[in-house]
Amino acid sequence: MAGMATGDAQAAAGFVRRFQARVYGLALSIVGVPATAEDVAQEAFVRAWRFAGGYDPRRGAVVPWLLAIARNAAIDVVRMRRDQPYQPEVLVALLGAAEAAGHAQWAADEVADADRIRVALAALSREQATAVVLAIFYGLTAKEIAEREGVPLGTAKTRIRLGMARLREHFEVRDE
Amino acid sequence: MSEPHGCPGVRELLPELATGALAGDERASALAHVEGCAACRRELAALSRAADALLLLAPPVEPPPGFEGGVLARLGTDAGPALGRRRRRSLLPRVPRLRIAVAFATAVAVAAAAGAQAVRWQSADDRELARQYRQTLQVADGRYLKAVRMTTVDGQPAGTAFFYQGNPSWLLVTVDAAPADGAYDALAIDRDGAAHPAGTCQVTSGTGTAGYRLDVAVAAVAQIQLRSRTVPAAVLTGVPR
Repeated sequence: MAGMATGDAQAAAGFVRRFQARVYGLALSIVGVPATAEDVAQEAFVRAWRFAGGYDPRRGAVVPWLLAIARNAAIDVVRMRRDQPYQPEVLVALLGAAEAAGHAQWAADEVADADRIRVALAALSREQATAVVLAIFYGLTAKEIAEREGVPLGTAKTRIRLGMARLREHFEVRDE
Repeated sequence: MSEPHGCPGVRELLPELATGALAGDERASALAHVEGCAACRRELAALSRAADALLLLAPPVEPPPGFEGGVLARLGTDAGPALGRRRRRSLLPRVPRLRIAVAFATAVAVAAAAGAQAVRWQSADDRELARQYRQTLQVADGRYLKAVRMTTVDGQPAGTAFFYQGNPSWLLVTVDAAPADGAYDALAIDRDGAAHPAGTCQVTSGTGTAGYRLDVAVAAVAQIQLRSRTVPAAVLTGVPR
C-alpha cells in the first residue's frame, strides 16, 4: 500500500497481480459480462491507486477496502445500463456455493470471515438474502428493491433490516 | 430541514445505511446523527463490516491476459492513448435535455447562461456579471455556482462543467470538442473515491450538453469525469478547485 500511495509502478504491478482475481471475480459477479467486468476491475485498480491516501490501515485489511471500491465501480456501470436484468437469485447461489478454490492465497482471517459470512447468508430467508444482495451488490435503494420485488416499501426495508441484523449477529459472534 | 432522528429512529435505519440502500433525506439525517453519536457509529461499523464481508464471497476469477498491463497503461497515461482530435466546434450547445422539473430547468438555463458568459466573455462588465450571478442564485436559493474546465487525456480543453450548490444541487456539462461521438457517462468522484453517476451526455460532432441532479455535495466532488461508452480512451476530466 505504501507503494500505491507513492505511485511506484513496480509496486502497482505487484499489487494488481496479487488481487486481480478477487477484483475481477467480484466485478464479473456483478456485471456478468467479461469485457465490462475487465473494464470495471481496471477502473477499480485505477481508483484504488488514485485514492490510496484514503486507505487507513487502522480500519482493517486491504481486501475489503479494495473490494468495496470494485463494488462501487461495478454499481456505477450497472446503474447506467438499466436494461441489464438483475439476477440476485443467481448471485445468492453463487455466493453460497463459493468453494475454497482461491483460499490458498488468502490470509487466515479472510478465510474465517468468508466462512462465517457464508454460514450467516445461508441462515437468511430467500427474500431477505435477495434484498440484501440487491442493496449491497447492485446498489439498489429500498424503494428500487420494493419496486423490483413487487412489495410495499416497508416490506423491503424490513427484509433489509432483519437480513442485515442476522448477518451481523452471525458475523460478529466470535469477535465480541 | 428535516427533523433529526434520535437514536431509536436511527438504529432502524443503520442496516439500510450500511448496505447503501438508504437514500435522500433519511440518509442525510442518519449520517448527521451518526456523526455525533459514538454508539450508533459503532453499530454502523459492525453492520458495515458484515456488509463488506459479503463481498469476500464473490468467487475469484483470473482476468484475461493483459489485464495487469491494461491497469498500468491507464495509470501511466491516466486513460490510455490519446485519440486524434476532431475539429473544434464553436456552435452554441444544443438545448439541454433535462430530466427535472420545469422550474429547475429554468434555473439551470439561467445559471448556465451566466456561467458560460463568465467563461467565454471575460471582458464583460464585471459588476453586471456579479449582479446576474447573485440574481441567478436567488432564483433557486442557491449557495454558489462553479465552472470547471474539462480536458481530454492529452490536456486539450474539451468543455466546461458547471456545478451548482443548492437544493437540489446539480451539474451541467457542455462539451464542445470531444475526441469521439456517442454517449458519455458522467461521474462525480467524491473525496473518498466513490463515483456518483451524474447522467449521460450525448455527443454529436464533438458537441453535447447534459444537466443532472447531483446527489453529492459540490464541495465533496474531487473530480468530474465524462467517459465514452464506446471509445475507452475518450475520457474528459475536470477537477474543481
